[in-house]
Amino acid sequence: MMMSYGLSNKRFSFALMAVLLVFAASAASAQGGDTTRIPTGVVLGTRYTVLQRPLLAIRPVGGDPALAATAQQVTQILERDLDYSDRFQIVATPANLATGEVSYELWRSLNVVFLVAAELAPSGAGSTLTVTVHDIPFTRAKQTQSFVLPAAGSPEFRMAVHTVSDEIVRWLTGQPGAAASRIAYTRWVGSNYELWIVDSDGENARRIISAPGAIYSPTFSPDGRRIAYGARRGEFGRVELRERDLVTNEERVISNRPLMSFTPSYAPNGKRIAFSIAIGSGNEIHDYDLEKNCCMRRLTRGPRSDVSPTYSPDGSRIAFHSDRAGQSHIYVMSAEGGEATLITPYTFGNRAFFTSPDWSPTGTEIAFHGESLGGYQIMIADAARPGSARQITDRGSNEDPSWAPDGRHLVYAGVGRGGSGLYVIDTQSGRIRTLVSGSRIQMPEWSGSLTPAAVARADN
Amino acid sequence: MLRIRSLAVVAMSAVVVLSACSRKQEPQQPTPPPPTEPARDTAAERRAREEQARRDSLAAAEREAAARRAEMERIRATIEEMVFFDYDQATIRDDSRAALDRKVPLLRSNPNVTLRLEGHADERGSVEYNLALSLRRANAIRDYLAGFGIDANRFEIVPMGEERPLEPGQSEAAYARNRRGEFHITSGGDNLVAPR
Repeated sequence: MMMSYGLSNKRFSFALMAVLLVFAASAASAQGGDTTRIPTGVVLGTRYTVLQRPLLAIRPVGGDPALAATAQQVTQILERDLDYSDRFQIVATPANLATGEVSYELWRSLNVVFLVAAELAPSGAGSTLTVTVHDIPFTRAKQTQSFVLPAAGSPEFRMAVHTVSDEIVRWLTGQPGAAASRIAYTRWVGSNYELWIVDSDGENARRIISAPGAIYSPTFSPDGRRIAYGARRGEFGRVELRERDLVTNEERVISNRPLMSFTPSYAPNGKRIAFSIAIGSGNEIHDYDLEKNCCMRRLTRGPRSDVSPTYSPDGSRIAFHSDRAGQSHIYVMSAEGGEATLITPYTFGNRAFFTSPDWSPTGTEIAFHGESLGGYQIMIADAARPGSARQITDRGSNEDPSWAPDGRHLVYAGVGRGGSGLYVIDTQSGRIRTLVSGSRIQMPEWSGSLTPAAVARADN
Repeated sequence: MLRIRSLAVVAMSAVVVLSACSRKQEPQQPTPPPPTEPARDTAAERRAREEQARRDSLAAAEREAAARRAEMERIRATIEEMVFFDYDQATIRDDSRAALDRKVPLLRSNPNVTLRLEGHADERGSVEYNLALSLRRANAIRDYLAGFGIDANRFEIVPMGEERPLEPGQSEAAYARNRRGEFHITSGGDNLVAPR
């Protein structure tokens, strides 16, 4: 059930009176307005439909007893990934069903729909994992495939198992998973700024950069191999746009124009990168040819701040944050620049603040955060239906959403859920899990799906 | 009588021996001619007067230097006085206008002064937008002062976003202090003079 917060007639006349009063009063009070309520045009979507998720069980991974420890690890990773996919209800495997022939009858009596059974065999330095997914109601093996896994101790091991999880999700739902992916984020530690990367399941968090100058909005290249970010040179220097190769750790400067170049977003084909630079009295969106390493183009024009571009997945459009109308809103324009359409709800006289857009990989939705309920909350707008949005969080204050490659989950930076850090929300069920705990963690960015090759490379 | 004389001889020879010893140890200093009493008084007085004059002029110089330092400190404080902004605004507030107006004559009388002009934002909004907003605040200050003929090139604009809050915390009072423009003299600040 969803609750609408539209204006009733009575509230409208009250609002009109308020508008007139505002005109009479000073300019300062014009920015007043009640920020403790949900903004007009935003629907509170935090009451989720209870979705019936199919029951799924994972048998403890069997096979060569010499690989028992690895098998246990694989079982744990698969089970947690499939749980975090929020597409199944995970059922514990009863001891009598843990080994041997699959008894469809007994599994059916537990209402289990999907059973994952897998075996490990030694293969070179690592192992081969053969996975079979059984469709219990139809009494058949739905799919079987073998995957080569690196040695359990190697840094690529966990990510290789995550790609298996995503394959299972794809077999069963036809949709992409989000397990084989990473999240980059910034962290402020003492007087230093840090750039971190963590795996989608919260494991393997590692610091990439620590510097005395601020680090702004990291973003992954489409293949997950490189990361672009804004970095302040020294304490009071300009903020320049840098790109770092995560394999070689080589860095290059993409833009060191005066004052600031930041909030990068790679075009989905990886050929161009859009970002905001200071120009005139404000900030404008530009793009740059990464292949030819040249050809900066200006895409927006205006006296104020245009920041935080994000490409649509087909690369044809860019959503961005602008305060050109006197308030902060999300707009959409062609990836070549030009006219922009307002996406977020706009009501004359009401204070509004919407920022940090991220276009979903499905292309239909744009996530952002907006001022609401005395803080900031995560909201989603339909890219094809300007002027409406639903608010999907309602506790504490939450900012900077970024879509998972499955187009279903969002990571965001939050405060006030008994702590602070990064959280992952399933936009369909509303389920929230903690990804990383800690204070002053900001600007999370979810990578795309990491292919096994990219995984192996990126973990060198 | 003879005993007395011989005693006297002994005593005298002892004196001679003693004085010989002392002469050997410390060579006698030439005695300065005793000055006549009135002359000595005049010289002492003169020295005292000169000493007093020297002290007076030192104290005066010290007072003057202190006054100069205080004046320079006032000038520096006025030039470096922060100005504050409303929420999500980069327009110059009335109270900020007054503070900026006070800087104008001082920036004119000290044409060699250059400044780092930092824009700052409170933590609300988004980190990225706040960096852009802090740039507009710094630019608005520079443009306002340029309107009085102050060379815009004397300001090094540094947008700082929400990186350096003046006051930590999530209160409106803290936010109000953090939305600001800061001025730091980077050169020409050694000999600040008041406008004539």
